[in-house]
Amino acid sequence: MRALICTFGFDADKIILAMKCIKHDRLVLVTGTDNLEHDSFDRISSLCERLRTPFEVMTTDKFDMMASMSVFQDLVWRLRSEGFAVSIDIGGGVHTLSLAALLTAINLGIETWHIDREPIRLPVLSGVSISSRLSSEQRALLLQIGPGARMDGLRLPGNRRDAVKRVLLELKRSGMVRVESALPDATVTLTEEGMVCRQNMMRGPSKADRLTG
Amino acid sequence: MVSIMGTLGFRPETILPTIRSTEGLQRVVVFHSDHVRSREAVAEVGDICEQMGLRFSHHEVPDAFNFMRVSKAIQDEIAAMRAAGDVLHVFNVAGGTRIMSACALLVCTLEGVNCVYVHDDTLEEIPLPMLQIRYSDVLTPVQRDVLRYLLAHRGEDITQKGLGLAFGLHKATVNHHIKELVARGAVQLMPSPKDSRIKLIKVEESMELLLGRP
Repeated sequence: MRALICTFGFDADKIILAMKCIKHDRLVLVTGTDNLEHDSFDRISSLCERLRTPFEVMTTDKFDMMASMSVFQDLVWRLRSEGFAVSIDIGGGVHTLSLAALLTAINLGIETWHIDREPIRLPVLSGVSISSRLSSEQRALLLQIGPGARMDGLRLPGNRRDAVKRVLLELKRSGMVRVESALPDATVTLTEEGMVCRQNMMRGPSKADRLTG
Repeated sequence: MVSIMGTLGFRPETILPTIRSTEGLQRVVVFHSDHVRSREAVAEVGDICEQMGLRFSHHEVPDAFNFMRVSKAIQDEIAAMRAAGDVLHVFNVAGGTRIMSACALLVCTLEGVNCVYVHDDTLEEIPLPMLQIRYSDVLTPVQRDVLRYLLAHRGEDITQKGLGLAFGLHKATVNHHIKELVARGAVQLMPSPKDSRIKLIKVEESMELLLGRP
């Protein structure tokens, strides 16, 4: 089963084009509350009813990018837990909404489209989440760090101190952790990127996503 | 040289927080549309940069609603900046058309560049969770070469057999790589119009962005 998430502003034609281009068994629109009062919303809603397409709407503060990212993230995880493989179309709505959808798609490894004048499949690799772009050693340390950890308490298989330092440096370079104070009492905390990644590792993709991308 | 880049719309104030927050800033580069108000905003940012003794350059994107063209323009500029040895500190994606912002965010992900957004009302600068790792690194060198080959031969009928001959690889090896690329959505297998038993390998033009500029 496939779910199609679309960002929506006032343009029903973009959504209809997305429905024609992308295979789906459920349509979810993410939009601002005021957009629900628009005629174009009623047009999509009645079309879905006639097509017998399960249809759902999520509202968000469309000008708050971080809040919208949270909405997308929770939505994707919920759909995945219900067994859906997910696609996202970021072509509608205000640009904060599109950016939030795009960043969520990149971080969670979701098939992404930009459907506007023409459909464009974006080079976001399916199933490649933010955490799968890390090595197994990097992932092991991220899980240990959690809300914060002393550097000397971190361990990797084989208990190699040099490996811990090397992997921490790699994580720092990729923007995942910050080292708070000087050695030997250094503590390591996760950056925003690190937290997204850790959260992603702890939830993981659904079986449907693993099978179909 | 420490540089920042940004997409700019009608409001110069969307890029100012990044100019203020970047330590040791030396250069500012903006992308904008050909709209008169966008040009006015560019002129104002240019004046501010001049007063601060910062190098300023701007790129007018002729069709700010063309996803591929805007993305390639941004990717080319990042490649040129890196080739010149400049440090791209951050990309501000707050201004410009929705397409320009989305293109910038996508290219920054692909190139492993830091991004910030500026809140519309509060003008607070918000760092976005981006990895500073080139996105295409998740593909193997062979997979990247295969994608490059397919992009260079777009429009031609390429089969797994043909690919094996071109790369001198065993058909099972080619099949393995193609399966991986299909699973990631990087390529598609389509039946040949001449003989439906033959599967042609098709690649989206946008995958060019994934591989980056040479």
